[in-house]
Parts: sequence; C-alpha cells; structure tokens
Amino acid sequence: MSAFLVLVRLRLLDVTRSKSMFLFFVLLPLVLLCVVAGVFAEGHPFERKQVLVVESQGHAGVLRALAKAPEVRPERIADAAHGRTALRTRVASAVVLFESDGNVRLLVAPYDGLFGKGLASLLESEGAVVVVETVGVPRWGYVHYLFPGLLTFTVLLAGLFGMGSAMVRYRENLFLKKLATTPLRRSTFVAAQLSARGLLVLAQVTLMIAAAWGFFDITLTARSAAWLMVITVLGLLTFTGAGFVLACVFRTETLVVDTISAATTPLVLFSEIFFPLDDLPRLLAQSCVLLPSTQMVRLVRAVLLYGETDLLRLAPGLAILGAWTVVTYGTSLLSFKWHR
Amino acid sequence: MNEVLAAQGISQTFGDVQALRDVSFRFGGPQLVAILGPNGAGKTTLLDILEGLREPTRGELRLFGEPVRRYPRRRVGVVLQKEFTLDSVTTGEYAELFAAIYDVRDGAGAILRTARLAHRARVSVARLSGGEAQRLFIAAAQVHDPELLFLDEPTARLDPEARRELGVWLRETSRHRTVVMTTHDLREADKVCDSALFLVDGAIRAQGTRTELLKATPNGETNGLEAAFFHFCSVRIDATGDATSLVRAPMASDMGDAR
Repeated sequence: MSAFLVLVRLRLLDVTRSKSMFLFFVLLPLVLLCVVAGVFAEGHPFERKQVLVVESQGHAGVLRALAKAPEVRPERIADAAHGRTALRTRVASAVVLFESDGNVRLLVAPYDGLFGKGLASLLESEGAVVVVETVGVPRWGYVHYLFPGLLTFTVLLAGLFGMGSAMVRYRENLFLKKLATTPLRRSTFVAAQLSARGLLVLAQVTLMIAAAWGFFDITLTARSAAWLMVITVLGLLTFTGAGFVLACVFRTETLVVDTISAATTPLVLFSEIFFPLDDLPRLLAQSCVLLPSTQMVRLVRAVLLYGETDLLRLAPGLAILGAWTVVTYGTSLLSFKWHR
Repeated sequence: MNEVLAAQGISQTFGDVQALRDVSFRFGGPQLVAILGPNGAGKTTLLDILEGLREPTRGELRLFGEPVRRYPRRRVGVVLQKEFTLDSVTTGEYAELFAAIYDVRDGAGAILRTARLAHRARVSVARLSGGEAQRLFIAAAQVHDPELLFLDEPTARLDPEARRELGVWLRETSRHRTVVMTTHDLREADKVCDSALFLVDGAIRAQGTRTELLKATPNGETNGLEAAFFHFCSVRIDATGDATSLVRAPMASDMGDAR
C-alpha cells in the first residue's frame, strides 16, 4: 500500500476511533437539521412583522382586525414606552396607541413607512381613525437588540469552557490528582477557579458595555450597570455549574470541547439572541423559556434596553438562573472526582 | 517500633482483575522503603491506596499508629509518577503554590533553594530538565517537613547522572523521615533502600530489610537486591494463593526501624 493510502487510512481511523465521532459525524448534522426545522417551522423569524398594541379601550377590536392579516404578528403590551423601545431595537415594525379621543396613533420606524400605510388602511377599513407617525430610530437599533444576546453568549462560553474544559484538562494532566494529595480543600479550589473566571468575565463584560456605550449609543445608568454585574455573576455561576457537570460526565477535554461546540448552535437559536422566542412553535418556545441562556438574555435586555431595575420584576428570571445554579453545582459536587 | 505506615490484608479489584491480593506490612522510623516489582505489578495501585487516593476493596490502612479515618495530609508528602506540568506555570509559581497549600512561611524560597532552582524560578516547569523537575517535585512535596514521603517511580525518565544525584538526595532525606518509593529499577533501589517489598502480580513475594533479604538469598550479599528479587519472585503464586506462605516464609512482615 502506498504511503498516501496509509496516511489516508490512518487519518480516517484517527477520526472514526474518536469517541466524539458519532456525535459530530452522525448525530450533530441530524440534530441541527431538526433544530433548524423546528425554529423555522413557521417561516423566517422576521417574515411576519410584529405589531404591538398598547392596552387601552378598543385594543381588542384592533387585535381582532390584525388577526385577520397573516403577514403581521400582533401582541398586546402594557405601555407605550415598551413599544417605543421595541421600535428602536427594530424588533417591532409598528406600535398602535389610542388617543384620548379614541383615535388610533400608529407609530412606525422610517424603514416601515409603506407597511404603516397598509396597516392604517386595514384599521381604517374597520372604522378606526388612524394617524401615522414616523418615529426616529438609532442607526444601531438592531445591535441594541443583539447586544444582550452577545453578552450572554460571552458569559456562557466563558462558563462552559472555563469550568468544563479546564477541569477536565486539570484532571487529565494530573493537576487535580496532585492537589488531592495535599490538605487543600475542594471548596477552596472550586472557589478559586470561580473567582479567577469571574474576574476575567467581569472585565470582559465591562469592556463590551463600554464599547457598546461609546460606539453604539447604548445608554446605561449606575443602577442598571450594577444590575448587569449582578446578572453577569449569576449567569456565570449558572454556566460554570453546567461546565462542572460536563467535567463530571466526560473524561477527556476533547469530548467536553466537542460537546460545548455542538451545543452552541441550538443555544444561539433557542435563547432569543437573534429573535424573540414568540417566533418559534409554541411548545418549543415554552420549553426554551426555561433555558438559563434565555433567562439571562431577557434579564440583560430588560435592564439594558427597557431600563428595568425593579427587583420584583427581575425576580422570576433571577430565580430560574438561581435554580439552575443550585441544580448544576449540586449534581457536580456529588459526582465530581479529582482523579479517575 | 514507632509505627508510621501499616497495611493489613489490603486487596483491590477492578472488575474481574485483582490488582492487589492481601497485602500486609508495617514500616516505622526513618528509612527508605522500596516497593519493587515489574510494570503492572500493582505498585501504583498500592501507592494510590497508601496515599489515600483510593479506597481498597478490602483491608485496613494504618498511619502513624492509627487506622485512617481522615487522611493526615499535613504529615504526608507525595510525588506522583507523572507530576502535572502546566505550560503557563513557572518554577517559582509552582513552589509558591505548594508553600501556600501547606501554609509554610518562605516555603517557596525554601523549595527553590532545596531544589537548587532559584536561578530557574521564572522558567516554565514544563521546560525544566527531567532531573531539575524531579528535584522541584520532591522539594515541594516535603516543604512541610512530612513524617512520611511517597515517591512513585522517582528515577523513571532520569538520565544516569540525575539518578545518581537523586539517590544521594533520597538517602539524605530518608535520614529524617520514612520514605516509600516504588520502582522497577532494582539496581537503583539497591543503592538507596533500607528495606524492600517485592510485589508481583499484586501480591507480596517477600519483604524485609535489605540485609535480611540479601542474607536469605544464595550469594545475595555479593549479587545484591536484584538477585534477591529473582530468588523470591521466581515462584509464581497460583490462583488460590497456595504459594504465598512458601515465598513469604523467610521474611517477617514487620520491618520496624531498618536502621
């Protein structure tokens, strides 16, 4: 057999003998196909334009009228400020407000002027008096929507790799076995890893926020900055906990890295990073709400874009992240081994 | 005898494989004990158990005269067969870590001085030579002045000069503490050990002080520990362990203070 064929054979065997081969070459493409099919089962996320209707007398009639138009996705909201932020971040295409005299004011962004005219015609055909107002939106509007997702994703990767991959590497090169021969407490070691990772991630997040503030017109108050740090720390705890679980399950760093890489694409699609979960099939959307990444994206978005700093309103998201942290760390501490 | 380390009927199985069979011994006093055996004899498994890294399937371990309930890590030092080396960790940082773990003031400086590596403090541990690295690992493992020091195959991967140097050092350090080392290098062990324990197929074939083992071997005093090892280990233990008494008879299981 020629050297060329031997090398081809060895390379093929190198791949096929790998424990993650089945995951990467067989399972992952099929899983991704199913994920994409699920995500886009009802079309492209931005195919149906979102119209937000502010709660008021008469909103039910407007919602009924909008429900007849398949090209729009109507949603009821509590206040106009929320609607304006949704317009600014280009998540919504129009916001319907009710004036004190009962007339309808239709807010649309400059790039949705034509859509606004069509929408006004639809509402007028139902007997409403409609005034269309074009509102200014920042150039970086969609970046504002994406930013919380990118920030979450940064923390997610730092947590999963920082704990999962590092722990398995430390176990593989016998660092953990060596430490197990010393009086060092397990909790001291884990706390040190978390602290180091926490400092790095906080520096990273601060840099990202500074760049977003300096170059992309994202505004921030001291209160919201403080909340962002709290959410970042809680998110990091959650994701390092998940990384810790991976370190308990997998024996080699390659397997951990492969698994994290494989999980990345579904997480990006299912965590409201690029588009709201409302665009997904209902059952899928309801399940994805429970993902820690979705909750962190929502919390950062609430604080950063909607200026939310009320603990009670942030509490549900914080509680879900906290629950994930408890479950992942509990599982890991019960099953973790310094060496195999 | 001031008992330092004792094993009573220790056995270890991994699935169908019996890695250790009814291992018993007692060591005490400052001395260097060599656990000798070929590759796969169960030396590292035994050392893992003695170091408190693994629970034996059966049997009891005693340290410093008491059964081990909570392993007394502050009284024990360990050098693993393959020590960790992280590319990003320098020699100085490695020393600093172990000085901090054992809470020894100026411990890092002491480790570097003992290992004669103060001038290499900023060099990555991964870039040290085999001999330098082994000196560092041993110095770090005894920064807290342990009463008992375990070394797993300390001479493996060392060149002859580094082996000779390590031998001198082992003699010196074993004057103050009990040192237990595993090795399959019989000649190196012969130069440094006070007592030896021959382990083959997970069972002890013979044990005793070096002098006792040599005396019990035909021409042992001339031919050294290597001859003693082959003398005692040429008889294989069968599956039922029938030959155990035959090979163990010449030696006591109590090595006491070998000096």
